[in-house]
Amino acid sequence: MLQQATTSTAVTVETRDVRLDYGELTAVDNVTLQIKSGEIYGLVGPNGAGKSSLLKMLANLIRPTYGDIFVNGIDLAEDPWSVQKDLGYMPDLSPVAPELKVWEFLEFFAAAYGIPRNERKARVNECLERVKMTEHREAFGKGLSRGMTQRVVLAKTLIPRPKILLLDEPASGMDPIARINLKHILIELCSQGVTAIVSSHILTELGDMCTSLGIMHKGELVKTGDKAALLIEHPVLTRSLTVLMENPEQETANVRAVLEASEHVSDVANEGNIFVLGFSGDESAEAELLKELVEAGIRVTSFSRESASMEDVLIKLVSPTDDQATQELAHD
Amino acid sequence: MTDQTVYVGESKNLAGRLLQQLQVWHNPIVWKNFYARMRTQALFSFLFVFVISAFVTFTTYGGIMRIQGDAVVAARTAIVPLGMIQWFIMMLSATGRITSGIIHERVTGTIEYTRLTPLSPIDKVIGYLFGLPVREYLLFLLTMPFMLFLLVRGELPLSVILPVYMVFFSSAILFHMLGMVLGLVLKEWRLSVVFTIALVIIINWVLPFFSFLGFPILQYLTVRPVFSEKITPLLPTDAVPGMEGAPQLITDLTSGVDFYTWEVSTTAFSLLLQGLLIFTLALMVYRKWENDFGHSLGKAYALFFYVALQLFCIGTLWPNLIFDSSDLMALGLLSDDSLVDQYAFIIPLIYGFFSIAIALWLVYVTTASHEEYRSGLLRSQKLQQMNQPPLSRFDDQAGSLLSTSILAISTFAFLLFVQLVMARVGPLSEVSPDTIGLLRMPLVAVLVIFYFATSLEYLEMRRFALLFLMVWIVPILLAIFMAVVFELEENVLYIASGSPLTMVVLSAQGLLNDWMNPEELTIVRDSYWIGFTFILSITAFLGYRLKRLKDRTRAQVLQSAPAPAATAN
Repeated sequence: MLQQATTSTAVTVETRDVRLDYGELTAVDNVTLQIKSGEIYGLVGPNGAGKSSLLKMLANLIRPTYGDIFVNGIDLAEDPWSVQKDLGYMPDLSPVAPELKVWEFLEFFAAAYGIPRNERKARVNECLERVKMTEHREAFGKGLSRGMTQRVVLAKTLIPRPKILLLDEPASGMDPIARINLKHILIELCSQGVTAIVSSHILTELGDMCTSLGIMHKGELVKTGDKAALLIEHPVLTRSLTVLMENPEQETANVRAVLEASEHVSDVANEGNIFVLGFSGDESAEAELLKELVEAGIRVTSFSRESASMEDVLIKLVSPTDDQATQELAHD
Repeated sequence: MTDQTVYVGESKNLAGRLLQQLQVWHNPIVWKNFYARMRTQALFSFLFVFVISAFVTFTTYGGIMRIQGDAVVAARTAIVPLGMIQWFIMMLSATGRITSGIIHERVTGTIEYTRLTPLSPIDKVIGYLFGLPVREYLLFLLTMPFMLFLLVRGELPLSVILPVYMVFFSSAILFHMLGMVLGLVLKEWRLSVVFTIALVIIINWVLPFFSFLGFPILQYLTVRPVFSEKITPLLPTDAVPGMEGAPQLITDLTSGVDFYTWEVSTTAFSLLLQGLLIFTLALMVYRKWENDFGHSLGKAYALFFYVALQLFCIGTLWPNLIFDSSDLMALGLLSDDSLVDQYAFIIPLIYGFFSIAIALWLVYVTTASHEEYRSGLLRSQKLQQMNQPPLSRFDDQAGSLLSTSILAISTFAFLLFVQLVMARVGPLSEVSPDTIGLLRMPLVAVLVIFYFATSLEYLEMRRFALLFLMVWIVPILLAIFMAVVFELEENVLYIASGSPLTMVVLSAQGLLNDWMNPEELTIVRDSYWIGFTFILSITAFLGYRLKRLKDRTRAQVLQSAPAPAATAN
């Protein structure tokens, strides 16, 4: 082993200066991160940010150009086989063997992971039940829809009861019910000590289940940390205002006049009676603005913070027009 | 949810583990393929093979019985067509199935799941080796009752049957491993399967005929020599199609293998040679399972393999290096010694092509692309920052100058040795080549190896393929065109000599002082030096550009020392 892994037993996955080059392209650039046991770590970023490459390196499918990866304190480069049993990897657009039935596909993995013959059937049934695919156990892989395939691959990933789950865009193709089920499965597993690293380019998929987040952009991990801390550090800047109007032209002008007069408001846009605005003040500034709107005779029906708050953080961090800010964050 | 399962293949000691791994019926990959390939649709192939085997066996046996009334002769005659069915199933069908199966898993992506399981690479190699062609193994078993019937009726002893089937299976596994390597390397599955099957046919039915030209090693990749040694003498003379009146090989297949000055059992020699190749192919597959992006052979093993193969090759070539014309006349191959020159020319030519081809293949397999070289520099720099020793010069990502040089020097030495032996005590002693004549081919070999390595490393695969076409093939085509259209003869050699392929031929021709008239000999030798200078110039130019490129890359890497981590928790 080149170096000793971080001694804290709570850290399950650790990378140090991990870099991956595909020819001239640097897919992952000096990524250093630590993920603690029991966390659901969301890896987010636009397409091509390097999320899948990083997950593949963690799964030992690709060797980094350089850098160290430790899983449960074991150097992946030194002893990959002892780590392999603890990992469950679900790739993006994951396939199933088309010529096998669902239960045969899962039983193969049960055998490959050394589950005793007399326990395999029960384990397969348990995993199928978890992903709500029991009734399709006799279906052939080639006959499954995209969402069903994802669920079967998730079941395959759960077969060895891994300590670490690496899920690359796991919800793509799943219907809303299956997505909710996926969240429940992950939350339940992590409450039992399993660590999950989940990648997605859609933040809303991860926002409400992740405990911590890493934001990747152009191969770099531009920000990583606790989800709540990230939200505090990058407060929500967008508000949505809905008003009741009888004379839209006149009243739109009135609303805009009040909003634009406020020192905390910027970038006002509206569609009909819904206004979206940038807001930089605290809660008392919000109250003050509402008071001014009401005093101006505007009938406010709602005033709220935008719900896709994590998207704001991501956009702010990786926006192409915000490269300078990204650089600054990188050197925090 | 976090209890740990124990992999069934985990035995405490190495021998126990290996024994477990060889129990293919416990291998999950074999079972997966069994499920996938043994559905109701498979019934058709079983029925087909059963009907055809029964038809071939009993029609041949019954027909001969009716005509000759001899059960032994009838049974022995029927062995050949039934053996061909077995050969077809195990060599062609199974090999094609392995290539297509591997490519299918790669294309669908399911191979990555298998890669991630805690099965060891050996389990994976064995699993795919016996799993993908599981149906073919069972089809083979289906033909065995008919074969057993013929062997018993034909009164063939076990001492004949066992060696033949041992080499049959060794040869089958060799081709299966070859299919697996091609499946892991090639991309387009239809083309790959056709290519694999064509390769198996060429190895079995084309390469053995190089024995007639005094180059016997390639026939031992197949079951033919053992079949010829053990079974052919027991067959009625008209049982093997095409064997009647066929010329004898220089290596007499009925009396073992002449290996240097020893006589080795054909079975043992075939198993040894095939074993070396199976091990090498297995190593390639093993390395691919370990790291799909890595090279299929390491530089150090490639050098070992080259030397081992050369020792096998020269050993089988030995009797042909030291014969004289009286030996050939005694064998009935020559009526007088007028053709000795041609034998003297053809053996170094084929051996030269063989040696250079193997060396180029090893260079191709082990040479790091420029990107890999750059990654290697980065990795090396990182290791040095951590006070670790930098990359070994035999690392996959290291430059290939050292390994290519060793390969080139070895080729030079082997070629020179073979020609010196021939010049001292063999057929070349009668044409008495001069020292320059003996050095021509070894020098060409060194030049061609460096030319190939430099252009491959500098130009990368796509541009290299273009250069290969333009410089290796086009001069020959142009020379043929000019010879045909403008009725030029020897002079076109000046053009053709631009191709390294022609250079090998010219260097062999240059051995023959007495064979050609002085004018022809001058053209041949002048063409040789023109071609040599031309290729040397390109190699020097590419080598210079490559060095500059590497210097630039090294400087860039030094400048871009790994930055501190972006943001850590």
